[in-house]
Amino acid sequence: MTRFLYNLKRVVRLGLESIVEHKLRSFLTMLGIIFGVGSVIGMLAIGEGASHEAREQIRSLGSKNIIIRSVKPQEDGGGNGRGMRSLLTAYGLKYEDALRLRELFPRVKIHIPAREIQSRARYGEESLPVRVIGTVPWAIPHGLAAMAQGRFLDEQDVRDTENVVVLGQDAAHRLFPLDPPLGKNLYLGSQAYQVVGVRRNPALEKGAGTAAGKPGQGKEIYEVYIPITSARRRFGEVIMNRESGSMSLEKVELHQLTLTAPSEEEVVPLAAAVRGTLLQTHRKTDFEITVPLELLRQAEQTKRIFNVVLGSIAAISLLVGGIGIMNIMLANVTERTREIGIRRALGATRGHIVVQFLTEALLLSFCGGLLGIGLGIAVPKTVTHLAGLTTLIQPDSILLAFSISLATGVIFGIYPAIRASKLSPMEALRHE
Amino acid sequence: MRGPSEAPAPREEVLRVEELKKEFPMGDTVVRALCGISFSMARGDYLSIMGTSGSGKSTLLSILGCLDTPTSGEYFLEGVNVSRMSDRQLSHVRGRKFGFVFQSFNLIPQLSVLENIEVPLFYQGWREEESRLRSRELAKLVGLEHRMDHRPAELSGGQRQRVAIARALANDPAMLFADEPTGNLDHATGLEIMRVLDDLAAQGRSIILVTHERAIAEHAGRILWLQDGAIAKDERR
Repeated sequence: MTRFLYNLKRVVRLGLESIVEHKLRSFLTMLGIIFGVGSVIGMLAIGEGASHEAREQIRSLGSKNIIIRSVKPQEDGGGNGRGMRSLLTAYGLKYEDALRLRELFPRVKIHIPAREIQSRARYGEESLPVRVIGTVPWAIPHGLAAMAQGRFLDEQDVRDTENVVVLGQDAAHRLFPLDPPLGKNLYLGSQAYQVVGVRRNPALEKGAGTAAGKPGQGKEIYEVYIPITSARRRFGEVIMNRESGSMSLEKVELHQLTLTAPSEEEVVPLAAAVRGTLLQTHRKTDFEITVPLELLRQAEQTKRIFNVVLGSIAAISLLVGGIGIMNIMLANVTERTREIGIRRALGATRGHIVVQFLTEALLLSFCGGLLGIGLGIAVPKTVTHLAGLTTLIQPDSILLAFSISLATGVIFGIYPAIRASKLSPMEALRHE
Repeated sequence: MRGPSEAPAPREEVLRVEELKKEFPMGDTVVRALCGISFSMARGDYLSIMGTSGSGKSTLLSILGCLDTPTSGEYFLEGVNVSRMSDRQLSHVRGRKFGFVFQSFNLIPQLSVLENIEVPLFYQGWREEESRLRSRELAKLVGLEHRMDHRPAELSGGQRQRVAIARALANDPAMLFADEPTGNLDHATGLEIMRVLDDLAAQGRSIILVTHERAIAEHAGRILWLQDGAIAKDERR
C-alpha cells in the first residue's frame, strides 16, 4: 500500500511536470473544459434564476386568485365617423358585476381594491387631512365590535352612490371634538357627506380587508370611508385622454376585481364560470380575466421547454469542449508516440503508459473543471451584480458539468494512449 | 557493473535464435524481412550485424531486443524462450535484461540528463534516492557530470549518445543493443562513442551492434553479414 502510494506520488509528479512542460497544450486542453463547465453552470444558473423570478412574481398574485380587469373594448366599426363618436365611453366592470358574482358564488371571496384619495375633511372650523377610502361594505370588518357609533356603509349606499361617510375614530375625535358626529354633514373636497358611523381604531386594522393599503403611513393620517361608487363619481371616475387634438372621456366603475377560490382545484372551472356570468351582461368584451395558477402552469411548462433548450445548449458546449479536449489529447499522444516507444523500450508496460497518460488527463481535467466551476459561479454573480438579474446556481449542474468534463477528459485522454501503447515498441519508436 | 576481474566469465550462451522469420504484409503482397535466421551468442561476446539497408538488420535487432515479435521461429534468452512471452513479460525482459542505444538517441526531451538515465530504473521500481545515486554515478562514467541537469536539446550529439549509453547501462543489462550508434555523429565523435562501447565490451558486457559501415562493424569480435533477410557470412575475427 505504501509502495502504491509512493508510486502514485511519483506518477502524479511526473504528470504535473509534463503538464507544466507543455504549458500551451495544457492550457488549451483546460480551456475546453473551463468553458464547457463554466457555460453549463452559468447558463443553468441564469436560466433557473429567470424562471424562478417569473414563478415568484406569478405566485405573488396568489395561486387561488382570479383577477378580472376592465379593458377598453375594441372600437366597433359601426360606421360612425370620427365626429359622430360619443365623447364619453363607458366600459368595464360594474359594481353590479361584483354583486352578481357574490350572489352566484357565495364560497368565493371577492376583493374590490379600495380606492384611496388624499383629501381634506372639513366640518365647521375644523379641517383635517384625510385618506378617503372608497370601499364596499364587505371589504372592511364592521361588526358591532368594530363600530364605535352608528353603522358601516351598506349595499344600498354603494348601489345608490350615496354621499355618506364612516369616520375612523381618530378622525371623529379631531373633527368633532365636542359634538356627536352621527348625522352631521362634513365636506370632503367640495362635496358634503353625511356621517353615518364611527369605526374603531382603523389604523390598527389597516389592510384587513382592502388590498391597496399603503404600509408605513403615520398615525396622523386619518381614514374615512365612503361607498366606492361615490368615491369614483366624486373623485373622478372619468379618465380624460387627449390624443392628436381630439379628446375622449372614459368612464370605468371598477378597474379590478380579485376573486379568491376556496381551493386551487376550483380556480380554473371558476374562472370559466365567471367569464360566462360576466358575458351575460357585458355586450362587449370589456374585461380580461387573468388566472395566476394558469400562468404558473404555463410558466412551469415554459420552464420545462427552457430547461430542454438550455440542457441542449449545455450538452453542445460540453460536447464542443469534449471535442477540443479530444483533439488536443489525440495530438498530444500522436506527438508523444515516440516517447511512448522509448518508455516501452526501457521497460514500461502498457499499464505504465496508460497510468501515466490517465494521470495527466485526470490532473488536466480536474484543474480545468475546478477553474470551470469558478467561472460558472463568477459569471452569474457578475450578471446579478451588473444587470440585477436573479441567478440561481444549481448544485446539480456543478456536479453534472464537472463529472462529465472529467469523464470526457479521461476518456479522450486515455483512449489515444491505449491505442499508442498497443503499437509494438518498434512501431512507436519509428513514429515521427 | 561488472569489474575487470570478472571479465573471463565462462563462455555460457546468452542468446540463441532458431529459424527466425519476420514477414510484413504490404498491400496484397508479403514482404519477407527475415527468412530463417539462426545463430547463438556467448555471454561477453561483441557482435556486429552488418548489411546494407533493407537487408533486415534493423528488423533482426528489434526482434532480438524484444521490441517486436517474430512471425515464426524461436528465441531463447539465457535459456528462456521469449518468443512465447506476453507483452507484459517482454516489457519486463526489456527493462531488466536489455539496454538500447539508438541512432537518433531517443532521449525524452522534457527530462534532464539525470532524469533520462533514471527512466529504466523508474519502471523497475527503484526508490528515488537510490536511482538518483545510480544515475549520477553513470553520468560520471560517461563523462557528463557537469551536464547532469541539462536537457537533451542543450547537449551535442556525442553528449546525447553518452546519455543514451548511460541510460542503457542503468539497470546493469545482460545485453546491450546499439542500432547505428554513430549514424548521426561526425567521424571523431563516432569514434569516441565506439571507444566507450569497446571499453564496455572489454569489461565483459555482451553487445550487439548494428551498422552498415564496415569500419564500425570491425570493432566487434564477430560480424554477422546479413543479406536479403538471411545470414550471408558469420565472420569471427
